[in-house]
Amino acid sequence: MFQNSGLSLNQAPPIEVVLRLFLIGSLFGIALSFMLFFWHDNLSDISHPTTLAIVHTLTLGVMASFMLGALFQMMPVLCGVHIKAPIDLSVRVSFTLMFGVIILIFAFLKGESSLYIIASILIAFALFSSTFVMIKELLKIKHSNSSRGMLIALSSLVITLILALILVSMRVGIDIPLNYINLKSIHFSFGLFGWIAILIISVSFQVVEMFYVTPKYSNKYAKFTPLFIFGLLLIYMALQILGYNLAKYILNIILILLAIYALITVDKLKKKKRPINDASILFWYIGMSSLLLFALLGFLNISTLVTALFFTSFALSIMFAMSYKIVPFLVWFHLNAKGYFDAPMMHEVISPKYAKINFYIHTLALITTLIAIKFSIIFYFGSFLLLVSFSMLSYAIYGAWEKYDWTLRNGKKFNLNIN
Amino acid sequence: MTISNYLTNEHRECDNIFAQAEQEVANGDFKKAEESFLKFADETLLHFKKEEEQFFPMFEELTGSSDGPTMVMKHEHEQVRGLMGKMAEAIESQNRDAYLSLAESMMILLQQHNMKEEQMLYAMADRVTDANRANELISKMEELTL
Ligand SMILES: [Fe+2]
Ligand SMILES: [Fe+2]
Repeated sequence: MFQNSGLSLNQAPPIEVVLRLFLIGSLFGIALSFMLFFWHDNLSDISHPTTLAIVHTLTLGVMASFMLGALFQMMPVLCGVHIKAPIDLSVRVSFTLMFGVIILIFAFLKGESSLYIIASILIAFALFSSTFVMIKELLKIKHSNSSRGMLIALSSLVITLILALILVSMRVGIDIPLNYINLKSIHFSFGLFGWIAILIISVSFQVVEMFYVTPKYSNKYAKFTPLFIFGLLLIYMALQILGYNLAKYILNIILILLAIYALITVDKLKKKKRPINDASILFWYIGMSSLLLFALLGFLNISTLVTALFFTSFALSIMFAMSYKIVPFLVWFHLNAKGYFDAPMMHEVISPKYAKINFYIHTLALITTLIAIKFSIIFYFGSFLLLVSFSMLSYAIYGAWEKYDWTLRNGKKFNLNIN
Repeated sequence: MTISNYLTNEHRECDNIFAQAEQEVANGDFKKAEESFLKFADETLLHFKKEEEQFFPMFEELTGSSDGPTMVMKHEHEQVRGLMGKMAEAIESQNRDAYLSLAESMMILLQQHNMKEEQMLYAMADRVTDANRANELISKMEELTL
């Protein structure tokens, strides 16, 4: 049994695997801020080229990079899954994804078939090659609620991606006898609910308890929520393809499940044993409130743009929450494990004050962007704050990496004979 | 009581004392914090001793391996012990920021460790031991002192 669990001394992947993807994600956040600054006028038209560019910069450039980075770290540590040659894989994945997204942005803007095709090949290569390895390894283990959820989330990513490839084929003129609009709704439902939401939910079943020392989520709840959402998405897909109107009710059930999850999580966080409210926990509160508002507005069918903003706020806030915990921990952990006795402490890697300032700017960016939907002139201010927020995160990750390298070169080391 | 219940309860107990010490340091009450921290250290070290002297050997015997999961767990115990020393220094020199920073690393390290034990080792031990064997192990662990 433990042969399969792969629990070993070398279970944490090298730090650069995670930091590179996090850094790329936050640099795409900077790009995103510029795009919002110049292109916010067309946001309400979801099919507009600049809007599509913004949406994919957000979901692929920012979110997918972060989420893959987090998976590279968590699958070995939390699920005991062994990923072979993680550096090679992550370098390949990071850069093909990065160039793929950049080319995709130009594809949307220029509408040129050749660009769509190159972008699709790169992104598909990046995402399929990483998900393939992860899914393959996840299928071997005995599941915890988190690892099962990760498997479901990765499967949703594969479905999202296959749909994206079909959509691109239709866009470049290949005749496929399916309804473009329906496929598009299935594509983003699987992307948003199946990949992003299920992944965050499943990871939270383990990390919320671990980082903040909260009461456990109930086992049945943690086991069935991801399965339930995924099942509903499959039904939704079938109904959409067959052209049944019922489909939107299915999405409403998913929204209710998300709202329940947000409420339960806030309750857990409220009951946490550790007294300190650091930036990371504040990011969780903002993330969960956003998820709750997203579900509510989605249910009431109020302004797509506001609803989309709350979902974005949910996903981004959790990303920030995780980065500000994981990055300093990894720097300390890897150096400490390597025997450096002057390894910087977590607060020396990223100061709690810095993280808190980033939190306030992030929150302010969200509020101004929300107001900007009504008064579009404020978008300039909102996107500027977003730029500051992502720049701070990029700098924090870059600085942490620098400190890590510095200690590797100059730190004092015990000669430990482990490994 | 199952082995899993017994050892998991100890994890929770340690979490509680740890949180208390952290709160007291945050309040700047180092006298109380020192007491709580020492209690946390004692309870945790005793728990490690119970695992290393009683639970792990039994686990190794039942699974027939001594270089697998239990070795990883012992290695992590060492990491926790090292960090504990640094936290004791921080509390002695009344360095609030250093303590809170170390506490952060300690909690993640310890929670991650506990989670692995609870989900894998303890769960498996429960599955392969009968009530007699479990009770015998628990009473042996109860006898241990620091
Ligand atoms: Fe242990
Ligand atoms: Fe333990």
